[in-house]
Amino acid sequence: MTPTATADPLTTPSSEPPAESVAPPGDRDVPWYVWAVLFASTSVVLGVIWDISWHRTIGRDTFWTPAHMAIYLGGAVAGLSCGWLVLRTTFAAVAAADRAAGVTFWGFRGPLGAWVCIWGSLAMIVSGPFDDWWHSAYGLDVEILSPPHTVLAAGIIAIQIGAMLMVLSRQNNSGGHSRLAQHLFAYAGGMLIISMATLATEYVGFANMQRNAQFYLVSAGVFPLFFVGTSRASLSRWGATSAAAVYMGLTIVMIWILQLFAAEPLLGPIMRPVDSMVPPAFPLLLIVPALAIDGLIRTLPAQGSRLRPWITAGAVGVAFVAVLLAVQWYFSAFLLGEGARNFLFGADQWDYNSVPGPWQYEFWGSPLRASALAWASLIGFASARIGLWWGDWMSRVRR
Amino acid sequence: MRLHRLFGLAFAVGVALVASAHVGSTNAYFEGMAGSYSVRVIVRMPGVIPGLAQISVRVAGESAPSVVTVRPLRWDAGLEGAPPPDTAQAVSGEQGLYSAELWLMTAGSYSVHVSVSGTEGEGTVFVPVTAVAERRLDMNRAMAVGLIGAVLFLFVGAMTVFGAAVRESVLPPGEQPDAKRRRRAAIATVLGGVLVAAILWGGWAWWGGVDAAYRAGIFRPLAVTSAVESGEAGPVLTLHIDDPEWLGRGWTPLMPDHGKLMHMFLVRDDGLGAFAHVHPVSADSTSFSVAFPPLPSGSYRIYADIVQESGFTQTLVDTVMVAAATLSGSPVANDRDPDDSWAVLPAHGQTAGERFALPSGRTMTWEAGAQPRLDAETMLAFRVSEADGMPASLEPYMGMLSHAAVTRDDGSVFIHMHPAGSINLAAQARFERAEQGAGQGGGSAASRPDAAVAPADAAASDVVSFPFVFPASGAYRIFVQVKIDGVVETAVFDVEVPED
Repeated sequence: MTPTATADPLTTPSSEPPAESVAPPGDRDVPWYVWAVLFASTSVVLGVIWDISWHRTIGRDTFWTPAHMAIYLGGAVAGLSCGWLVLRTTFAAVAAADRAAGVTFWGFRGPLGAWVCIWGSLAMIVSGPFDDWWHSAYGLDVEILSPPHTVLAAGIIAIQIGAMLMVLSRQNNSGGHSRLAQHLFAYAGGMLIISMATLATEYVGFANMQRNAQFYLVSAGVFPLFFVGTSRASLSRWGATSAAAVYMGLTIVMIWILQLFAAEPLLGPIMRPVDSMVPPAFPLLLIVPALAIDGLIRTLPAQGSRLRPWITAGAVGVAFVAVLLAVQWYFSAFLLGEGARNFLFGADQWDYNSVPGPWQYEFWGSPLRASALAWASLIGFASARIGLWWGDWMSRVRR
Repeated sequence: MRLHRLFGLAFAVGVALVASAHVGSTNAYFEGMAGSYSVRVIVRMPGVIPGLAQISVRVAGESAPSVVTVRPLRWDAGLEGAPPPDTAQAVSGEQGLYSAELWLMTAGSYSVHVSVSGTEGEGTVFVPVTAVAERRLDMNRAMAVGLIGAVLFLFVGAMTVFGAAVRESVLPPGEQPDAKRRRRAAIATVLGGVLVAAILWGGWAWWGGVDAAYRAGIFRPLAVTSAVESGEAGPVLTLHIDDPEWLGRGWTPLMPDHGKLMHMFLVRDDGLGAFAHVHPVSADSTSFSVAFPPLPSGSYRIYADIVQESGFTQTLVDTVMVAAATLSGSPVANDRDPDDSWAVLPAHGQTAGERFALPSGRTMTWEAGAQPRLDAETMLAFRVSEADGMPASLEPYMGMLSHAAVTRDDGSVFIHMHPAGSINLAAQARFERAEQGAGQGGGSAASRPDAAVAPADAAASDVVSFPFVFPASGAYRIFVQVKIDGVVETAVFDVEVPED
């Protein structure tokens, strides 16, 4: 430790205890702010799923719908708890150890994850008036992906990554002793996977899409990055698998819960009878490719020649597409059949304003070609390679 | 240039206003009966779709508060596919006035179904509207500056996060970054900035694409070409719909309104001093022709109202030059639609206030109340007197007691109205037919195209009145047509609507 003459008195390391004196965190001392950001991450995700169901079922909304409240509650909890944490870490005399465990941001100190969460909260706030103006200028956007919604999504994703980083620093500082931190990291990663799957819904979400090229190209671009990153950063053997299980589990629970609530459309034209909340589409069976990714990440040596990561990424890209094809090809056909039209799978439930027709039971888009799978593997390779960089860095995050 | 996109596009908005059905405003005004209730309904359209339409319903002479509900129904979904009724809220301080908001989610032909319940039972009425994207809102300067500032703040914040992530986040608590790590952090800050800038640039390009697609989708009436040429039986005006969309047959067919497939208005550019209301006939589904009336040569604005079987109405707009040689070289046409009418009038600004002397010696008087105000509910009422001052006895002209056209001097507004309002009566009848039995009160018999006169007007048949809202400030000319002793007479009144 070499204090510099220009160090901020608030962050000067002379007041910090030596690193050795910081006891590795265990299972029992997860601080409140970690729980707060995990709650925030969950609240936002559930709010988004709820809100999409709301628009597909009821249609009409206001700022004050419970789904919106869940989203904004998540943003507020993340922003306020991390803001408080940063102020306390920077200024409180008793927080010297925390200052040592933080990073500097415009003269303030706090964990990196807190800064990412604060950034996410601010992005969510910015998206509000932007989205409002957008509705006035171009009409209400009844789509997930629009420029202001993307700003909101960036804020949400930042909060989820911030939550992951805050859990990670505990996992990485525990020397592998905190299994709770490993579980929480898988949970936080699962929240991020749900967000990414939700953002990609219009391209991959419905079973009808899951035999065309777009499904494989988009899936290969989105998912390997996050599964490889989670797998590489987790101290558990099954980081990606656990995150995929969280994604699937929570989505299925939301399918079950939403269907229990009676609702009716309040916008027209109403093209089909809808009497309960329309659930999200059944989740992709991502637990299977995630299992393959965990296997590859644990099996293939991380160190060695410079080519190692590229080889691992290539293997992941091919394996992801192959396994996804193997499971989703048949499962999507099941979801379009009568066997899935029940409470458990929640299939064949559509927006109030969609005109009923045979399209509900058909595969959409042009048939899948081998060339599309090759391109998907290549995209999967690039996605996995970025995931390896990200995961390698996350595996070393201490603050 | 980029700021221009944020701040500008007033021009695009102007074009959109010119190009709307019922040129200049798609707002709908209706006055008539809902069962036993005399109602005036104003639907202010949102201008963007999906968007919120503002509905106001005035129930005349109610003895006790009524329950007023409104529902939007799309032409192909009907009441069965309409959302549950919204209860309009009583406007405090205004007896009998109720207001509500309705979401119109898709473009096309809609009808607002208004229901009134009170001491006189229940009455309903359909008010047809045309839902189209008409404009794109500009971003005001404060909003633009705030947004740019927020994005810059987030941008710098993101760069700082990248730097902190590389500089310190991987160090054990308490350890200071060395010079190498600080250098790498500086590089990461810059690279992070480049990455975020690239994302922002992509977002900007995306926004530009969405904006361009939206502006391309702003409603424009079908493109037409027109000409006045000499014919064997006199000068003939032809109007040809040559819009690829029309030729592509992506539309429901036209249906007659007052027995005519097209109601065409001609307004002479020079001083708005000549006016005609004629009814071209269709040679095929794209060409319409009519004998050009005996009016002076010059440039004429054409406004041609058509309505499709879906109830979708639009006003085709064009300008045609009528050469003096074409008129002088042709015989006078005799074969005309008996409902065609025309008049040579004083130039804009040359009228004598609120009284207009009709060629027959009668007088039409504008019973102007308060000065017309921008975007405010206004009743335009006119009284017709015989030369001796006695009330004139008006006859129905194409089923209505009167026809009026309101135009702004630059042509950016042109609205054809009846005492029942600005709504298209054929479209209203279409919705009533489609929903027969859907409500009590039997809809608005008063406003059916085949009805002789509106009962509300029958009691005082020397007075005609039109519910209206001036959609923009500026100089307006109002043409009012009435039929007396089998002759259609046209009066004009000029008015200046000030900025609010």
